[in-house]
Amino acid sequence: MGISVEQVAKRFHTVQALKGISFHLEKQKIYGLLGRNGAGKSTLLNVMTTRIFPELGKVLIDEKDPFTQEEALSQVFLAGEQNCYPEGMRVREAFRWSKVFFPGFDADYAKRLGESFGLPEKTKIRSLSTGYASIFKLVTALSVNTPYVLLDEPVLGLDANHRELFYRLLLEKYAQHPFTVVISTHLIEEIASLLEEVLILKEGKLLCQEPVEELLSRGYTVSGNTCLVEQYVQGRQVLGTDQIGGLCSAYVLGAVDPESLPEGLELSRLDLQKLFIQMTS
Amino acid sequence: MKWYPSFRFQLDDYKKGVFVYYVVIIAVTLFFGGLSFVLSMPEGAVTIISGISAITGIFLFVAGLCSFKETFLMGLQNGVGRKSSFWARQAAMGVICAVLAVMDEALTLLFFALGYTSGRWRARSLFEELNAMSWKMELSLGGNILLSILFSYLLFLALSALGYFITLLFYRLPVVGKVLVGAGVPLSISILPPLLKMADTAFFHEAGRRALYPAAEAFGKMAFGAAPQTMAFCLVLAALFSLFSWLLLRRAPVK
Repeated sequence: MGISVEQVAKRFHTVQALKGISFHLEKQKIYGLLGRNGAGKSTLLNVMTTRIFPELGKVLIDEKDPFTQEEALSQVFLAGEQNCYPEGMRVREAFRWSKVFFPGFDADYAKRLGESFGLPEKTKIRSLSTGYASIFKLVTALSVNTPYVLLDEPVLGLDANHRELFYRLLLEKYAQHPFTVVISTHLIEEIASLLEEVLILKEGKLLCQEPVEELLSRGYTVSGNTCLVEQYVQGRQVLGTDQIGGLCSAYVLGAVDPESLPEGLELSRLDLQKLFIQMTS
Repeated sequence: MKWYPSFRFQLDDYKKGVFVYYVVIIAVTLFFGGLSFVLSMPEGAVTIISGISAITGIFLFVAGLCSFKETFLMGLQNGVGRKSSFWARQAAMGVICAVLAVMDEALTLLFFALGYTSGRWRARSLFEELNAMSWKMELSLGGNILLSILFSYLLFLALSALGYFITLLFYRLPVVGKVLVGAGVPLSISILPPLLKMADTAFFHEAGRRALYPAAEAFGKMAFGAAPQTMAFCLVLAALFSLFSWLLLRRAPVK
């Protein structure tokens, strides 16, 4: 069970957006779908929900092909970049229709969420600002109660307060009713703590699919006096460094030996964003 | 399969348009009917109100043109596959056409009754009009009503299916294709026949016309020679346009 993507390839004219991607998403896990602009994240999510057709390969949702067995589509909800709601539809109407299409849609919960974000229910969806359009999609996605929810750039245009609120609500919802969430975003630092597993795409290929903990155990961060840090990292594979005044943090790949660490230096976890930048540069 | 929610959505999509359409039709008909009382007309002159169904057919054609993209995208957003979306569309089209066929006949009867009491105007359905002009079938009042509804229904199905097919065709075509079809079809309708005629006269001494005219006449007789044939022809057209629509829809991507 889960979502399986097998050898999916997709081309747009001269651009090969996906180059034979394969992976499996388990049930009740939070995934991060990471990649630089044009890596193929949105294309992949659109293929997974049958919005576009792959040239090659297949997608299976709970072992059913959503392109031929349409009941599989009811299991998945994509809050995508494109607004698929009709021109004149208002937020309130969209919630009403969501209940018709997804019997599990919790209209009361959606209303409460909308209120906590300050989402105007009477406004037409197409008239919402970028931030509120994102909020509308998030509220719908969190209320729809499907086993798989795919979020493409979910916090686009959201201010810091609303982003915090969304992350908290997502975790609350996940704790109460675990479901599979795939979050595609560029704000890696912000979501790193939410993710259980990451998929990193690079130029249409899957670079890695690993649990966040395993990925981060590939390296470590060493911080302290700049001179000490520079001495320590010599001969080691350094992903990057940050310097503030006389202090420096270096992101190092490889296993750490705490015994060999000079006095005055501190060890900490590797930063997911630094690792991502190194892997996709 | 989520065809029923999609069917409800597509039906709902028509509601407002149908309401506005009938408000306009009733207002316009009453306005012109009322004019016959205000304007001085010669003794015994009668205004004939006929063919509401022809206007309704155009309305349904235009509605068909407008009813694809939003429902398609809304369906995919809400887990409705293309097959369900297509069958929901067929069901919604069937229901809307039936309701409008009955509404048209009811309005025609209402206008007939109003005109009958005043003696100033008469109302006839499109079927009655065509029957009086071409088919000359002897029918009772009940038979007239039933056949009027059935005729309108099948005509609406064909026009609605045509509108839906055209909008789907344009959705699937690339920009170049849209330009070619958009400009090419009207151009070939206006330019091609005279050109063919000229070529036929110049090169074939009208042999083409001698061969084509009897075939066209036979086809016209077969398709429109009698009411049942015309109705069957509408049904075939509706089925064909629906089939073409399905072939276009089954691989339609989100744009």
